[in-house]
Amino acid sequence: MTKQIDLLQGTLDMLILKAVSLGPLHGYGVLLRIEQISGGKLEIQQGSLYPALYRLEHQGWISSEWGESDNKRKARFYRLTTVGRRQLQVETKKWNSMASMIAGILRTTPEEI
Amino acid sequence: MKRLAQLRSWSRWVTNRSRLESEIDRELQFHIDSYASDLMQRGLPEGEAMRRARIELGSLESQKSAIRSSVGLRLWDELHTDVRCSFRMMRRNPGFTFVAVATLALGIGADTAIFSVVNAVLLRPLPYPHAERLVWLSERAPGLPRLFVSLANFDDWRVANSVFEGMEAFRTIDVTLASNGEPQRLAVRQVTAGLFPMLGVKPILGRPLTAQDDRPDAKPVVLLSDSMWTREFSRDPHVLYRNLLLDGESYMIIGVVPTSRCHLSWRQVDVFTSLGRMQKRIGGPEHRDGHSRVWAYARMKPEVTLEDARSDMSSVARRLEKQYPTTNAGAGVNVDRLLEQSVQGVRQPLLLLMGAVVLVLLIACTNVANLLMSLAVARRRDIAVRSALGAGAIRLARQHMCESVSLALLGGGVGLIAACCATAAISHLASASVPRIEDVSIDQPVLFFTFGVSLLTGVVFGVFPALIAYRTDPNQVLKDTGNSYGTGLMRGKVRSFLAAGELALSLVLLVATGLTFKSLIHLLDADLGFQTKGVLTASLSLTSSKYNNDLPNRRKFAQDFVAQLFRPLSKDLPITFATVEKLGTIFTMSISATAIRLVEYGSYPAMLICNSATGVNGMLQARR
Repeated sequence: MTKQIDLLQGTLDMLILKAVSLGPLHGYGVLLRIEQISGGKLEIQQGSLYPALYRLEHQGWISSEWGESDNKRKARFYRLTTVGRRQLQVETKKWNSMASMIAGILRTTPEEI
Repeated sequence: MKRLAQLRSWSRWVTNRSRLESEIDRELQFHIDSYASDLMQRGLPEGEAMRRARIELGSLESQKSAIRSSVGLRLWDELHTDVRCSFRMMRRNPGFTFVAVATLALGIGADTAIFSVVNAVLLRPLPYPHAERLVWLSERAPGLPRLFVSLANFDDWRVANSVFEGMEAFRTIDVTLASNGEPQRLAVRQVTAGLFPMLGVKPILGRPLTAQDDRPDAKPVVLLSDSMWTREFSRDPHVLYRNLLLDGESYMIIGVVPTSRCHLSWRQVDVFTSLGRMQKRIGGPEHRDGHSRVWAYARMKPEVTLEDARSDMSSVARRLEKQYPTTNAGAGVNVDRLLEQSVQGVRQPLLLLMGAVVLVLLIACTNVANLLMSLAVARRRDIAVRSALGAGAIRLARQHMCESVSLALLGGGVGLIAACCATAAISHLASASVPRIEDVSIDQPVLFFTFGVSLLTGVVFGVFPALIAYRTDPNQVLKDTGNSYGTGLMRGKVRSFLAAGELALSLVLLVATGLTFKSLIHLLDADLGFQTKGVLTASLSLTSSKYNNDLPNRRKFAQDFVAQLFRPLSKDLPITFATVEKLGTIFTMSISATAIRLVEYGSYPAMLICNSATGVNGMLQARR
């Protein structure tokens, strides 16, 4: 099993929005999807998943509805709302600019100062 | 946008709580089952898989509580518990609850009742469009701070001012209506044509007064008030173009105005005629010194302040003074807000009363705070145990606050019911002495006031017990095995503070009441200069068209009339008349009680007040 990476605060929300943006998912599906797209490198702590899902729904970024899962059981499916899509774009942009800024700082060599 | 979504989600949670909670259960169960079946596929035995799945998700209860706080329900839940605890506390101490709620209901009820009067009388705007720009104009002269307006001056003001959108005048007199039955006395208000349009009052039947009706040579026309229309004509729409015989002159009815929606004296008027038509009789440049019962209203232009209006009018008055030194020497113009002028007599007494009931409420607060403190002594152990179990100090203080606010709101509710009864009684009792009191009602501002006051009250008297709870040291209290009375320096201090505060408040209230009462006694004792015991007064107006300029005839009529009127009452009582000539000043008309002269006749003093301007007031002391 891969080692768990500690996520920065707020990153989990962004990852959930991304996972759900690829198609409606139930809670367990969100977990699997994130693990799958990270190539199994990232494992979400299960305890923090549901509070995050409910928080996002409370903000109006995702919506939920009951449907049928692959194994023919009733499950609650989450999908991205229009507001959520906009939020995902904002967060992505913010993340990218932050990442490139930090990368820039880390690349700095003594000669450049 | 985000707030709206949150609010929607929050209200969904509050209203569908149990369904949503059971959905969480199902969702988490689905998660555990799915994960366990994945684990079993990887080769784990079923029991072990289920165990692992449960452990990884964490306890269901803590999941649920994390979910609740992520949708903002935590504070709500705690508040809910606090309120439930508060009501449990009240149920457990019925005696305390009864006394506290009754005390608060008295305090809050009194405040609500008086505020409803203040609101209706002092605060509520007059029922006209842009009523805040309406002002009342009167004149002043040396020694006479408020004086009727001279119509000639009024005409000059109208032209010379630069601050008013419109300026209109009116005058109220009594006339006799000759009809098929008994003759009636009617209150007539003569108004300039623009007055009703300025107040935004339109006829509900017929047409308004026009500039043509306001000319001196116009045909006499009359508008009925809606109360007169109802009383005398049973709201018959065919009343138009009929004639009314007022003081011997025939007036044609041209319309009906809804004055029952106007303020104060406008409601008591029966009919309206034009003032401009009377100009020859009461005004005109040659009668500049005649101040014949005319008042004026004006509407300020939108950007004009009261101070602007005052300074503009005083410069106008100074110009007129220079122009007409004989009649206008020392004359000035008063500009007052119409609302303030209508209620000026009751403003101070009402504010005093409001102050008094606020003090009463504060006393009620200290009383209830004291009661709560004694209760807090009995509950110290309870608080100590809770805090030992991990309840935070803030949380405990908040619960105490919640108790006191619940008490106060309960008291406020009961007080509101009491106030409803009180306002009905007040408006009945004070209808003669307080303007606008008939409009007193428990309306939205009053409800807001009561709610706000109750909330504030709860906070004010709850702060002391909450402070105690905040400072309680569980260690000390739980160790303390003996009686828990008399411990705690802090509590002693708070209690003496409360007692001193209450004493001070009561003293202020007592002194104020004493002073007010003393003034009242003085007022009742004031020497009028004549005996009032057993004195009757009667007044009579004479048709002005017939008697106006015929003073000797007028006096003779009055004497005959009074003699006849009182003869059956006083067989042996000789009646003497004392008449007073028209006073020789320019301000005759402004003085309502012209003169009083006491005539001694044997052992039966008889007295007559004669007012040469308006008619005759007879006054007679009956036999003892």
